[in-house]
Amino acid sequence: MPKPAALVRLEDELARRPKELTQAKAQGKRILGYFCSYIPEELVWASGLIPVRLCRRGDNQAATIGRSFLTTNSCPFACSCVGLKKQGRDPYFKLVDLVADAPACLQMRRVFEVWERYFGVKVILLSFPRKFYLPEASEYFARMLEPFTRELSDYSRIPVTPERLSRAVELYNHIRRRQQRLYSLLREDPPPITWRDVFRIIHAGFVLDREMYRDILDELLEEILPQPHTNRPPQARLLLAGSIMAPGDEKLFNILGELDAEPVMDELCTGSRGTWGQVDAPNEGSLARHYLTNIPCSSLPYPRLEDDPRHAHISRLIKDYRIQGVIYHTLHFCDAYNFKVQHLHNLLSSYSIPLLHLNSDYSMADAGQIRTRVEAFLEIIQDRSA
Amino acid sequence: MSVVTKSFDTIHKFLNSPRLEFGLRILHDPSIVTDIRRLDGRFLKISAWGIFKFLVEALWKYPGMFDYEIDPSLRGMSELTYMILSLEERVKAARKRGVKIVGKWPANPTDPYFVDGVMALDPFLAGYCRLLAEGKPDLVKRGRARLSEEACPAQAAAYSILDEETYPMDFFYPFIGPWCYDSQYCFEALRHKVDGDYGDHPVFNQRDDRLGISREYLRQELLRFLKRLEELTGKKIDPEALRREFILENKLRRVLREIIALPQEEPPPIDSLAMILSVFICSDWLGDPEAALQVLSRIRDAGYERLAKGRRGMLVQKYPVRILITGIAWGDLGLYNMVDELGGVIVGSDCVYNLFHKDIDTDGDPIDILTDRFLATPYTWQVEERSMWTVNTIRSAKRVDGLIFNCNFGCNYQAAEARFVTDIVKRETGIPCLITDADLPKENRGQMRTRLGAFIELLKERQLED
Ligand code: SF4
Ligand code: SF4
Ligand code: SF4
Repeated sequence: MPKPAALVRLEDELARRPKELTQAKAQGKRILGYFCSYIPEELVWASGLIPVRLCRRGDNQAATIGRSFLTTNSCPFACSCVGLKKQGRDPYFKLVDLVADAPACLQMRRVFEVWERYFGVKVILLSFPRKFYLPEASEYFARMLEPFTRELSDYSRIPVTPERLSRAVELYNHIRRRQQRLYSLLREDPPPITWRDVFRIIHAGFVLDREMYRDILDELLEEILPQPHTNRPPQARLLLAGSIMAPGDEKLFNILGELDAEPVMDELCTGSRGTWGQVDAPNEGSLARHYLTNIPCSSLPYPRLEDDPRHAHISRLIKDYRIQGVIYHTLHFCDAYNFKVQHLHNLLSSYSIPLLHLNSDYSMADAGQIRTRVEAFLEIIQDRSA
Repeated sequence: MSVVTKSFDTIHKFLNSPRLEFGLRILHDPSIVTDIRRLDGRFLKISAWGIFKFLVEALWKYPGMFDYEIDPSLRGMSELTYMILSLEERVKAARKRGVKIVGKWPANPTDPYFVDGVMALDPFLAGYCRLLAEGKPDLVKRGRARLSEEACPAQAAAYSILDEETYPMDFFYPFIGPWCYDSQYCFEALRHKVDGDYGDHPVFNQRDDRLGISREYLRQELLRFLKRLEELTGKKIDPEALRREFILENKLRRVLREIIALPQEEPPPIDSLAMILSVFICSDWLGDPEAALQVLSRIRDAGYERLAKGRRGMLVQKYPVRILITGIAWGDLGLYNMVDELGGVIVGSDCVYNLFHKDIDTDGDPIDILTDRFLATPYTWQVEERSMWTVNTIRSAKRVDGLIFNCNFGCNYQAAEARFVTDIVKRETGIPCLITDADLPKENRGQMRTRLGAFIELLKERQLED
């Protein structure tokens, strides 16, 4: 199937984006970087700052540099976020004027402290509660969004007026709806678009101008919806879940590709997680509720096993996407995800769904071993479906 | 190895072990035996004879504890050893009597946990006590196999003792946020065994003007926590009882500060292990604040007496260099013995000192007091402020010659601050700093000896220059 024109356009825009941002900076625009999807981007956009989600896989070298500032016990993503800034090669890491931190993952808190202390970057800390399941936590978060917004506006010198916020909420809701539509297409067998493409499209939304991004999503859907479905059905219906998988983290995908396999759905913060739900009104309360109580990241613990919302969400995905196996990919020392394997395993066993836990990093040292394990896992699924 | 050689080997090992030395001392030094005092605590009541009997049996039952050179002639040390080794039995006995066992993380302030009908249990320190008793790291290995190979030794041990039901627990309720990152996930991984909830201490900027809103949220969280304890025990918490607990725990905090100051004196009247057993292992009062106060007061008084007589602690060498530990204290108690042997002495451990570095107010609304107590814990602050707190600790101490920042394997909470803190301490005080990495007890001793030896040499050279 030829590549949809909208996808080609998306790629062109992505290639142009660093230059565009450099020009915007030269014209006095400020760029705000952030790492974690708990930052309500609507507020950044409404304040006139250019939001860029700093989410890149670091090569091993960047992770090694990061470790010298943090610890060998820090997750490779956190280490890369330090290393990439220190290296100064990645255009997005280089271009940001300031960064915003919502410390859901506390390991990332240290990353910001390194940026502030060793690289002299201004950090805006968005005070963050952890009991996402408590209504009072959303109220607190909403109250903390007010000074956060003020700080953004102080920096951009553009006040976040009700009109601007309204436009922002509308824009981001639109984007989420479109992204959700793309993900819903993956339920079909065969789907009109591959999961890899959807994943890449989501990543493009981290850096592109958000209004242009919205338009590209619209074009893309218009283009692919009427298409006949010529994609081959996947050999196994896999769900990919676990720690953050940053753009460029291709090791697992390359291995899956070699084995002619691909997920049909993900439960990742760089994938589908941020696409669910809508902000119901343009105010801090709605934003706080949306961001805090939507599908929670594993970095926020939940005290009860019987009604764990993450388990409920994964169960829903298994049903809706007719999942046959789950690949749970964690990064080394990401305890938020690693410590949860046992309970997830028990949940999946109750549905007779096999689980493959891969705990890895950005080096290629374990690629062979991963390949063998994935291969065996695919065989198990095939045997079961036979 | 034949049975005969094996038996000879065991006998040889025993004859050369500190266990025998400790045993012989408590059996043959009448002053040690007659010196043991009865303990009359909240949950713990035992005669001097009971403690003595327990310790004699413990030499065989809990051999691991006696692999270390514990100073039995320091008064109070036998009782403290008893408290460490008997924790498991005491927790079980208390629960049988209807006391609710509530789980917390070590650094969470104890004050609100020890309310009527509740015994606070910190599974991380309880895991350590068990490790000490067993003298082998199997507990950690089993925990890692089920929790994660990347869990720090304390998390893995805590996981094991709760998953294997070695210790009972009715409810976990750690305060999370700027505290240990992993405890929240460790408790979460134990949900199949223990019911629980979390206290939410939001991460916020201590420097800005929004402290009030965050403080109020934390205050409400403390109220919710106390309400949960009331539901658990079926007893109303009397604010005056809380205040009495603050007063009692202030006494405990004071006595810990007094003990921690002892090795800074010349000559240091207690050695590194005596200091760390008192201030680290006992920092959660080992299940009984009143009994802990009795024991710690005896240790302090014994230290003062030795000081007056100019007597050195058991392993302390002449003119040792003074070393402060920050990050997380070593879980391998043998390293404290090693520091003494190499000519140093540990003069404090920030990871616990940051919990009792000052008293808390006792006048005013108890919930306000508690909120401020939580907020006054330097390890929860931003790294710049937390580092400056260590700098001020060094500046206000009588003498600190060097700083060791210890990182435990698997720890990404404190370990990730090592470079920050040591950079700032070096800049502000000029004292040498060493970063160590530790994991299982008794592991890598050779490498550690080389590194500690070189560090202590360096400090000694500087001492001579001065
Ligand atoms: S994994 Fe969780 S904490 Fe980490 S960036 Fe994603 S949402 Fe944030
Ligand atoms: S949630 Fe895990 S992967 Fe994400 S930054 Fe934290 S430790 Fe790293
Ligand atoms: S060593 Fe680190 S991770 Fe382990 S319990 Fe202590 S603070 Fe937590």
